[in-house]
Formats: sequence, C-alpha cells, structure tokens
Amino acid sequence: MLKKRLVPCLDIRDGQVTKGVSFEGNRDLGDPVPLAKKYSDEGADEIVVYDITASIEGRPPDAQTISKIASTVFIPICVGGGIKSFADAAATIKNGAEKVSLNSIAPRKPELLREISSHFGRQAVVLSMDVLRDTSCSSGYRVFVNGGRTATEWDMLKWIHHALPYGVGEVCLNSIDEDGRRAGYDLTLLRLVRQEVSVPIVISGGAGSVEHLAEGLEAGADAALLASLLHIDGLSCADIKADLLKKGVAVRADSFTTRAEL
Amino acid sequence: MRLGIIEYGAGNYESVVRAVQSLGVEPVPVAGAEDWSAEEGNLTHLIFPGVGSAAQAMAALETRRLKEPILAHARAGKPLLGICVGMQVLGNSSEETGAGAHGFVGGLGLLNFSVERLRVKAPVPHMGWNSVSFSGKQAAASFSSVTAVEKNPHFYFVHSYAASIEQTDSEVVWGTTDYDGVAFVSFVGRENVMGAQFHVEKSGLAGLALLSDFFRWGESC
Repeated sequence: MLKKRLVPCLDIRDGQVTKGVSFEGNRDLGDPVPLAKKYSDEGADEIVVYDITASIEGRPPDAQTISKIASTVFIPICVGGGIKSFADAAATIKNGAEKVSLNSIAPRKPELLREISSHFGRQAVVLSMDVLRDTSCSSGYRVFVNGGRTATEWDMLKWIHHALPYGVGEVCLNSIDEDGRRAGYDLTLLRLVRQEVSVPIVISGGAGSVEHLAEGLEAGADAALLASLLHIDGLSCADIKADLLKKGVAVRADSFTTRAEL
Repeated sequence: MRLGIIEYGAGNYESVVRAVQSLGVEPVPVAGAEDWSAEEGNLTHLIFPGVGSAAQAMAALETRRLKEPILAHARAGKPLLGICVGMQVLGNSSEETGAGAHGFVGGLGLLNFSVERLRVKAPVPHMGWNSVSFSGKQAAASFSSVTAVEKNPHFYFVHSYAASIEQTDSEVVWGTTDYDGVAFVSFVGRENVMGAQFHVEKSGLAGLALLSDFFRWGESC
C-alpha cells in the first residue's frame, strides 16, 4: 500500500537553512546540502526546498543549491520560491526538482499551473496555500500571499476549486494561525479540504510532537511537512517513523543504511 | 563496466545520470544511432529511462533511430534496465496512446506483458512510496543488496499506467505492488532484460542498492 510521507522542509536564505516562527524571526541552521543528505539517510520520503528570499528579490530559486541537493540525495525534491514563469519552472526541474511549488504567483497567474502541468504532468505541480482563519469567508479561511503578509480576495475553498482544474497534483496547506505554535495542526481546516479534493494533501504548520503528526496523517493528510521537530528538537525521521508505526500510521521504514555499505 | 543511458528527451534523464554518478559510474549518453555506433559494442550495460506517455517514448525512439540499438543490446545478452515508461515500452503494447487517441501503441516486445490504465478508485497518478514484493528466484538473488535488507522494500512511484497481472506472462513477473487493493506488476524481467515501474533514481538508498546490483549483473551472466 501507498505510505504516508514525511517531508523535511528546508527554508533557504542566503544559501543557509533557516527556521522561523509564524513567518517571522528566523534563525540559521547551516548548509542545506549536508542537512538534506542527513534527512534523506534517516528516512525522509521527500525534501522540500523553499528559497524564501527569491520572490522578494525577483529571481527564480537558487539553481546551484537545488542542483547540489539533487546530486546528493536521491529522493523526490520539491522546490518553491520565486517561480514566476514556465521558464523558471522548467529550469528548476532541469536542475533536479521533481515538483515545483507555486504560492503567491498562483492567484495572479493561474494559467501558469496549466502551462507547467501540461508539459511536465500534474504530479509536478504543487499548489501551496497560506491560509488564515477569517469568519468573513464562507469556508472560515482566507488565502494569503507574499509569505503570509498579504490578504487575497479568495476564500480558501473557492480558491481550491478554482485552481485545481488548471492542473495541480498536490495541495500544500499551511496554517498561518498554527505555524510555529507547536500546538497541533488545524484539523478542521484539513478535514474541510480533504472532503473537497482527491489530490494528495501535504499538511504544514503546527506540529509540535509525533502525536500531532499522527493526528494530521490520520485525519486525511498524505504527507506532513517537517521543520521544527527536526531542526529544533533534533528528532530524526527514523525516530518519528518508529513512533508513527507504533501508532498505526503506515510509513516507509526500510532499514537501508548509508551508501558506504552498498 | 561501461554504462550507456538512452537520451531521448525523457524528463528523468538527468536524475538517472546524477544517481549513477553518485555510485562512481560515469555514463555515456546514447542520444542517437551515431552515439551507439561510435561505441562499437563497448557498452556493457544500458539504462532506458522514461517519463511521459508510451506513445511519446516510442515516437522519440523512432525519430532518433534508437529502437534497433536497444534491441541489439538486449539480443546480445547484455544487461538492460528500463525505468518507468522505459520499462513499459519493453512490453508488447500500452493503452497510453497520448492526446485523445484510442487503441494501443506497440512496444519493443522484449518481454511478454501489456500496459493498461490503473483501474483503481484511488487518485491516479499513483504517486509516492510503495512496497515491491519480489518474486522468482532470479530477481531475489540478483538484487540481493535490496532483498537481503528488506523483504518488501519501498520504491518511489509516479505513474497512471501499469502492467496488469492478467496481461503479464507470469514468467516475467519479478515484483508486484498493491495500490488501493489492486495488485499490478511493478518489476519485470527475463534473463538480461529488466524493467522497473518505479523511479529507481528517486528511491533513496533502496534505489541506489538496486542500481549497484544491476551494475554487478554482467559479472554473473
């Protein structure tokens, strides 16, 4: 059977991995390449790389960082940050990404989703959404862009139904309310989206324990983005997966070790 | 060992190159019949990658005159590994004809199986990590770096079409995978010709172990 995925998230700024709380107050965690390798060796199912300053600086994601990671780890890589055109997406995929993640650009230019998916396949397109609770929206959530700083006119569910037909292979759901608080995912939000879409959902924002991950994966997420559990608590994907298996969550936990033994 | 990789515009070509390079192998790109001739039969191993549709892949092989080299390599008894769509076109035919067309596209006919759309209720493409149950003595023994570690190791899949159990000669089934309660053939092979539905190049250490076993293949056969 298909397994639930754990996806370490590397936010990159000035070539270094950084981890923030509620989209602010970042701190450095070092070179992304050895960190990606460590996570992959420990059982990460995929790596997400966000070039968090690319968009502000008006450039595509850093080619060198992606290609170095893709030459070091051999699991799927999803890249986001600053992808504004088909050419940016094609270059990012050529540099070694399997998937590109589009966030702020998508409401402005949804046809970009179609351009990428019709050429590379739907599975190469991840629609990433930052959402904030908002009682004036019919779903109870509003979509934000620009790293969670700018409100859009979109109700979260209306946006999903509008965007998916353009060709989206996966939805990444980031709760601005819960991000960095470590109090658990917004499961109401997750269930709401799960009822409406059949594409895989990656959940992000709020996990402070393995228990929280299990809750999210059992409530319908196909994958969980990991940041502070790894970067700050120092847990490994192997530890987390062993715990998840005990809780009955189906994850990949093969005992392959380092390549030196091949 | 001298490894060739068929280069016909498949999206995973570079990923396959990176993966084999990480194992210390510098591959030779085979982008056309000329590259093949220039090697004068020196290639000991061949990888045939692929993403997209079977129809696109077959058309690209025709245009680049790569069909005959692949068949010649296989007929010479040298190890050949097809990946994803590269695996699918090793068979007799595929339902995946591409934009709007109906019917079948013929494959290379090296192995006796046919490919059809995944008939499941769950989302297609089947994307993510799933386990492969190796079957048959040759597969288990030849991929011992993989099978000695895990009985049913996980690999990374992205596909909408697959070799069905019904349309595959049981002799060539080297591995099966279950998606949404439906089993399909995820690994095929006979003698020196083999194909993986999963992305060997993106399957982490299991994938690299499988590749290193493939590189050792020629030594024993």
